[in-house]
Amino acid sequence: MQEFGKRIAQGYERLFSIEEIRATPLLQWMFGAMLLFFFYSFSIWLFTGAGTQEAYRSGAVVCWPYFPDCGNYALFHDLYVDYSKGIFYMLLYAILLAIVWCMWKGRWAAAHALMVILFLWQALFSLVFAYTMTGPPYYYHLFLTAILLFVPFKEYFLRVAFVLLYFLSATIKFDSGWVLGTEFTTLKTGLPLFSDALTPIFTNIVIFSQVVLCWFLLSSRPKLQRGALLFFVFFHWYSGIFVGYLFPTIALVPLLILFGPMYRPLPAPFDKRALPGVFVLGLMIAFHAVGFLIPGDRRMTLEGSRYGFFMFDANYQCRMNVTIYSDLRPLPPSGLEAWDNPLGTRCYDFYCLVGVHGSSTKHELVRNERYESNFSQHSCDPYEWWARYRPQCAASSTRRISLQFDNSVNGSPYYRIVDVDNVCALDYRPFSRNEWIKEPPEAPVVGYPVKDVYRY
Amino acid sequence: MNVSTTTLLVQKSFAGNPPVELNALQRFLEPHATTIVHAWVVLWILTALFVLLKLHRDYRSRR
Repeated sequence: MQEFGKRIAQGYERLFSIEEIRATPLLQWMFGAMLLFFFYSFSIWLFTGAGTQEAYRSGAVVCWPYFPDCGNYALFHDLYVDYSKGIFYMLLYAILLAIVWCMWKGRWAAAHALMVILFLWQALFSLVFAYTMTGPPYYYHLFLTAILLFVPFKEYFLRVAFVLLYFLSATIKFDSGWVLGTEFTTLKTGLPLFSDALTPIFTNIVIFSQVVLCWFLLSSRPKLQRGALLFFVFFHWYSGIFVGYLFPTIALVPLLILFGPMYRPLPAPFDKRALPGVFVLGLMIAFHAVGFLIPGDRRMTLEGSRYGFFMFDANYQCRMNVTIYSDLRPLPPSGLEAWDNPLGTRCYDFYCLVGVHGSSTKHELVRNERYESNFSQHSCDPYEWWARYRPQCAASSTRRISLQFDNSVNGSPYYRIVDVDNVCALDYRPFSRNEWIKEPPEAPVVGYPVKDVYRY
Repeated sequence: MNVSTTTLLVQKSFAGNPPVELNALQRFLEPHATTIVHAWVVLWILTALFVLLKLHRDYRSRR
């Protein structure tokens, strides 16, 4: 029996190249870096509604378009129902602590096996349950962790994957918002620390760095390699002013580990065992490409915009006008309320409800809700609005829900990209164009925005 | 006219706001924006080809 266990352990070590981790301090540091980001992610997710049945039922959280009924499989309840979510995340916390203990004791196979559990939960949560609460930092983490856990030649592929993340991210910047810098100059506060007048120079330097300079991180010439490293260290430190600690935690920390003092140029492994690493790199490219394969301007329609590494793709402002037509009976308690938020009302959500007007006719109750976006970096996605009213569409008393959706990108005019009588009668296709989402010139101009305000 | 009611989003109204103004450098670059975007795309493709060629050369020299 003991012999059998030993063979299983040896097979596990061989399968996942655990010896590489045991023998390479750089990979051990990466193990710690990935662990740090798990801790950061879970501490955020614990306090969100994503993953709770109540959040999906109310439309507060939406699923990915390729699995719109994920709420039926939500594992947890909200805190006012029970403690299931808290208990689950504290179990993950215990696993985090156990991994630290295993690392300290040098038990890398056990640390690895425990991290696989965290990885699986993160993949499930990010790619199934949390459409609006996930994004590039989590994708960075998923791919880097996948390489660290499952792929031979870990050090080589971690470096190449990290550089590839920059290279792919550059493609999202190939538009006038980045070339002219209007993404930032249409913010009331502009770029931090730099004058608006020079913004286009800085934005084009960033594009250059992600197209060309990033490859120098892999150089065997110390001056070039260190120069590129210094640039990206500054870049991530600086971007932290915009995005807080989340992105630097998954970008700056691995950057310093992979390309800092422990850097050594490695030859490409031309070996059959390198195929899993090549496969993960291919997955990264495929995941990033999905958004480009859907025709149309993804910044305006937001179709496919959440696939890939779209950090800072644009600066968004939007307004939504939703009218719900329902049976008079039963009259909901909020049925005839009518109010507008007074000027100065604070709002901390992605979208703010700014006014409600209820009225009734002989036959039906009409409730109009007006919303405005609140976060310039949160994409104004019509899918999100289609999905959040799905539970209400399913209610027997609902007759129809009309939706007007006006979108402004990088200070452009507001275009009415959605104007439909009944959103409940529409389908959303996750990998192709949805005809009910219009683009200019079919989408008419309905107004002009003022400068947007950046906020966390 | 609809007026935003949040303190941080002031007057995201449908009417009355002028189109966004560009600064001098942006006005200079704007007519060439599409060309610059195309230039970046070409450079991206060339870089990708260069990286793949270098890999291929390493592969051949190792054999």
